[in-house]
Amino acid sequence: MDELEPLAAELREELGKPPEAWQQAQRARFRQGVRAREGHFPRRRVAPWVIAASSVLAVVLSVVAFHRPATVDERWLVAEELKGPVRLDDGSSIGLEPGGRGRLVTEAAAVRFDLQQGRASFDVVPGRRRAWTIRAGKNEVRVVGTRFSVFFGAGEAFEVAVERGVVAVRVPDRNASVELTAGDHLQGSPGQLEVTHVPARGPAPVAGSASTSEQQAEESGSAVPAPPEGPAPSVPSATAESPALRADWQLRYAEGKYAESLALVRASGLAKHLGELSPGALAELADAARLGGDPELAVRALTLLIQRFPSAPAARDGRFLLGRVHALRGDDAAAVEAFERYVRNVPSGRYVNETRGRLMELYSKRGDAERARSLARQYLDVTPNGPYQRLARSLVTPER
Amino acid sequence: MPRVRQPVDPAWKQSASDSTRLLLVPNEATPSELTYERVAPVVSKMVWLYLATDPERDDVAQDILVAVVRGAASVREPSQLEAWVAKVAFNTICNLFRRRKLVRWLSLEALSGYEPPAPNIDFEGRELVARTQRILECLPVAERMAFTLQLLENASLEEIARRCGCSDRTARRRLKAARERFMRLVKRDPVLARRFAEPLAPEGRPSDG
Repeated sequence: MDELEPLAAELREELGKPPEAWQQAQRARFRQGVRAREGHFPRRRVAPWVIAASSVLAVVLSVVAFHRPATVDERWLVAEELKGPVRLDDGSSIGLEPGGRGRLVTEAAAVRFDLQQGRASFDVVPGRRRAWTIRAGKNEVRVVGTRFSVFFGAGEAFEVAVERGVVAVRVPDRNASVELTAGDHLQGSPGQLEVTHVPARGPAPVAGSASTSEQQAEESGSAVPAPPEGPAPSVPSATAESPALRADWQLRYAEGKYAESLALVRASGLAKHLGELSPGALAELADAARLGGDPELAVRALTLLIQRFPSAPAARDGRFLLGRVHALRGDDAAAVEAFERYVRNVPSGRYVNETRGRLMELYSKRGDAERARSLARQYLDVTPNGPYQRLARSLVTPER
Repeated sequence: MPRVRQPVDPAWKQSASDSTRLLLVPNEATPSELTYERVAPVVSKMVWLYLATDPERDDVAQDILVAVVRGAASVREPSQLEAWVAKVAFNTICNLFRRRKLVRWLSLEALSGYEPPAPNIDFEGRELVARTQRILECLPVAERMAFTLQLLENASLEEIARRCGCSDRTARRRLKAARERFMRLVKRDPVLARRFAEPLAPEGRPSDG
C-alpha cells in the first residue's frame, strides 16, 4: 500500500472495532424482534396452491382497496381558531401557541403535521401503532411516544424541545437523524445546528398540553415533583464510574455522539468542575471534547488528567492525545513538548512509534533537521515499513 | 458490472475453538438468541468494515442477523457456521452496494458535487472515514469489496481472494484498478488530499528520498 499506508493506518485506527455500545444496541433490537416473532420461527414451508390463492386474493383486495379511498382526514389548524388543544382518538393532543398554524393529516397508521409557522406542542401517547411525523420546512421530527414542542419561524429557524421520551430529528444538512431525549433542546437554521440539554425538572408549560402533574410524576418515575428552578445537573454524578450512575454526557459519549455529549457538558457547567472528575471521566471528557470540536476543553481535561493522576493508564495515552490536540490547534511547540514527554515517560507505549513519526514532521517543519534525522533513523530501525517511512527515508538520505 | 463470485471454500478463518467457545447469555435465552451470540461478532465485524458511517448500517446489520439466525439450521456442518455467516454477510452487503449503484444510476443524486470540509476542528477521524467511504462508493462494487478489505482491514491478497471468491490474480487486478481509481478520487477531495499529502511532503523537503 506504500503511499496509501499513512492514510490507511489512520483510517484503521479511527474505524476501530465495532463499538460495544453499538453491538449492545443491535443485540437489544434483535431480542426485541425475536421475542415478538418467536412464534413465527422457523419459517414454515407453504404449499404452492396456498401462495397462488393468496396472490389472487391479494390482487382482488388491492383492486377493491384502489376503488375505496383510504380514510384520510386532513384539516388546517390555526391557533386563533382553536379553543384548546386538538385531541385525537388515541388520547394524543396537539396545541398551537398564538400565531401558529399548520396542516394535520391523520390516517389509520400515521399522523402527519406540517408546521407552517409558530410553535406547536405535541403530547403523543405511546404504545399506539401510529407513526407521527412533524415537518417544519425541510426538517422532520419522528416520534414514538413523547411530549415535545416544535417551532418554525422566520429565516427557517427551527427548534425542538423534548420534555419526555425520545424523538428523532432529520435536518436537511445531515444524513443521519439527531436523536433527542428529555431535556434536549435543538436549535437550528440553515447550516447551523445546536443541541443543548436542560436538566429534567418537570415539564415546562406548553400551550394546549393535556398532561397532568400526576402523569408527569409517573413519567419521571418519581412521586415528588422536581423543584421548579433546579440547579444544573449534579456534577458528582459525572464522577461516578458505575454504569448505572453514568451521567447523560457519558452515555452519549459511549454511543459515539460526541457533539451531543459535549453540548450536555456545556449545558451542565461540568467544565467548571473538572477537578472533581475521576481519571476515567476526565479521559472520556477529553475524548468527547477532542472529537466533538472543543480542543481547548480537551487540553484542559488532558492536562488535569496527567497532573492529578500521572500513573493512571488513561494518563499515559493522555500525553500522546494532548500532543495531537495541540498539533490540531496549530500550537506546534506545545505539541512537540507533549510528544517528547510521552516518548520519555512511556517508552514502550502503544503510540510511541506514531509519536516519533509526528515528532519527525514537527521537527522538520520548524527546521530542526538534526533532531528530525535522528528520530527518522530510530523510526526506520523499529518500523522500516511504517506509515512515516517515506518521510523518514527522505530525512536520512543526505541532500545533494 | 462484474459480479463477485460466490466463495466455494470456507471463507472465514476461525480458530478451532470458535465454534465451541462459551457464550454468556441470559437464563431465559431462546435458541435463536443463542445462535445470535455466536454469529453476531462475525456480522458486526463485516458490517462495521463496510458500513461504519452508513445511515442504513443498523438496518442492514439486523437484516443479516435475522437472515442468518433463521437459516442457521440449514448449515449441515456446525463448525462451518461462522464461515457461512461471513459469506451471507459479504454477499448481502455486496448486493446492497449493487442495488445502490443501480438506483444512483437511475436517479439524479449522482450529480451532487463538491463537498467542503466540515467546519469543526476535529471531526477529523469521523470525517476521514466518512469521506473515504464516499469515495469507495464510487468504485465498481467488485473492486470496492476487495479494496476495502485491503485499505481498512489490511487483509492479505490470499484473504481478499478467498473472501471475494476469486483467484489471487483476479484479486490483484481488482486491487490495482481500485487503487488507481481511489487515488484519482482522493486527490479531488479537499480533506483527504490534504491529509494524504501531509506526511509525504514536509515543508522545504523533497517528498521522496
